[in-house]
Amino acid sequence: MAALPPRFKELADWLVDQTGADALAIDSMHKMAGGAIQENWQLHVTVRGGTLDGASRLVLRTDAPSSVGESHGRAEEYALLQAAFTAGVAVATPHLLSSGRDVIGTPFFIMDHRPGQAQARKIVRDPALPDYGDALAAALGREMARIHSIGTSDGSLSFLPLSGDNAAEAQIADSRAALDALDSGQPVTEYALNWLEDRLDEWRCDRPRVLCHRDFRTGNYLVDKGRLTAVLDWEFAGWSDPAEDIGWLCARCWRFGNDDRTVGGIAGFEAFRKAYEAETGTVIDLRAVMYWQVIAETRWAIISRQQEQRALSGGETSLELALSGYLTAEMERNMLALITEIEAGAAEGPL
Amino acid sequence: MVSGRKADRSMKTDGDKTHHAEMVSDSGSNSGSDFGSDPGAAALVSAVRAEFETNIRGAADNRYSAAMIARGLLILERRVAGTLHTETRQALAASGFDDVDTLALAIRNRTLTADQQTALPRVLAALVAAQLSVSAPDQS
Repeated sequence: MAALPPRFKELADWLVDQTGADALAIDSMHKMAGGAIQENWQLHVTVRGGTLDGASRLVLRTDAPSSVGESHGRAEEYALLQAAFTAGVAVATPHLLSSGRDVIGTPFFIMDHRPGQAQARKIVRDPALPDYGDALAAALGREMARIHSIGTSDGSLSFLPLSGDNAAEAQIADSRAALDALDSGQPVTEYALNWLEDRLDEWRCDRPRVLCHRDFRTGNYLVDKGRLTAVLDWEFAGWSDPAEDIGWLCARCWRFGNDDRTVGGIAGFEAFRKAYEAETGTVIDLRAVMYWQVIAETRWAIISRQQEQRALSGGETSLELALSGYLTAEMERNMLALITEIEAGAAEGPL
Repeated sequence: MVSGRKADRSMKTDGDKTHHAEMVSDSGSNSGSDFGSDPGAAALVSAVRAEFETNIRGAADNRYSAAMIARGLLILERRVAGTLHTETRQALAASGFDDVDTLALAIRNRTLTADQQTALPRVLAALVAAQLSVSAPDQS
C-alpha cells in the first residue's frame, strides 16, 4: 500500500468497519483537480467482501480549508446526493458518510467514481462538441427535470430552509444580506436587485418550490465521450423556482466564451427545452428564465466578491480566491446588458 | 432601510477591526484605488511578468497554477499603471457621489435624485468599464 497523507491513516480501518469487508486496502489516493470550496480525493482500493466488494475506485469528498457561507455541510450534501440518486438522477452512488471529525479531521462522504471530464473549458472547446452538443443538452434537460421532481414533502431534506413567500423574493433578500456582509459597496448589483424587485410580478412564481441544484452549470457535470455521466457538487441545492436552475445553466457567465451556445456554452436551447418539458410534462416559463439569468449574474458576482474577501481578509491564502474579485466586472457587464435587452422587449427565452 | 454593511462598518469601534475592514476595502478589486504611479514599481512588475512568461510558464507542470499567476501579474501590472483610480473617479463624478460605497447605499435605499437616477445606467457602465480595463481590457 502506498503511503497516504497522514490525515488519512485511519481511513482504511474506518472503511472496513463501515462496510464489513473481509479485506480492504487503499492502494493509492490523490487529490482531484478543482474544488475551491470542497476537496475531492480519488481512492484506488482493493476490497474483498462487505458492501463495497469488488470496488476499485472511490471518491472521498470533504471540506476545503474554507467555504462559502451559503454552502451545505457534508452531511447535508450527502442527504441531497441520496435524494437525487433515489429520484433517478445521474449521480455518483453515495456509499458512506462520516459526519464527525474523528476519522480524517473533517466530515466527509464516500461515493462511486464516475468517469468523465468536468473542466468546463475543456468541454466547451472539445472539437467534437458540435457532434454531441444537442444530445448533451437534452441529457442535461432530463437530469434537471428529475431533480425538479423532488418536492418539499421529501422528509430526508427537511433541513433545507424554505424562507420567504416565494423563491424570487427570497433570492433578493438573501442577496442583499450577502451584500451587507461584504466590505465594499456593489452599486451595479444593488441596481440590478432593485430592477428585479420592481418587476417581481413579471417573474415571481407562486407554484410550490421544488428541489433545485442551484449550481447546475458546465463545470459541475461529467462528460465522457460526449455522454453525461454524473451531476456533481450539490452543496448549494435548495428549494426554488425551476427557472432558477435553467437561468443559471444558461447564464452568460457560464458559457466560457461560447456565447452563442445558450445552454452552458455547449448547445442552443431547443434540445434542452424539449427534453426538459417532455420529462416534466410542464412548459418552461421562458420569461421567468430571463429574469433568473439576471439573478444568476448577481449571485455569481456576490460569490466572487465573497471569495476575494476570504483571501484578502487573511482567512485563506489563495491566488485563485484573490483573483475572483476581478471576475465581478464581467458579471456586472452582463447584468447591465441583460437589463437593457429585456427592457427593449427581447424575445422571451434565455438571452 | 439603511444597508447593514454600512451600519456595521460605522458600528465597529474596535480600532483593529476598523483598520482591518478599511484595509480590506482599500485592497479589494473594486475599490478604485491603485498602487500609485511609481515608475520603478511598474517597471519591476513588468520585468517579473516578462521573466515569468519567458522562462517559467512554459515549463510549469501545473498549467492551471501558472495561468493564474500570469493573470495575477497582468492585473498587477495594470493596477500599478495607475489608471483605475482615475477612471473610477471620473465615472463617479457624473453620479454626484464620492465613492462606490455611498453610491451603492443610495441605490439600495432608493434615495437618488431624478437626475442621478437618469444618469445611473451610464455611471454604472463607466464603473464596469473601468474595472474591465484592469481585469479584461479586451472586453472593456
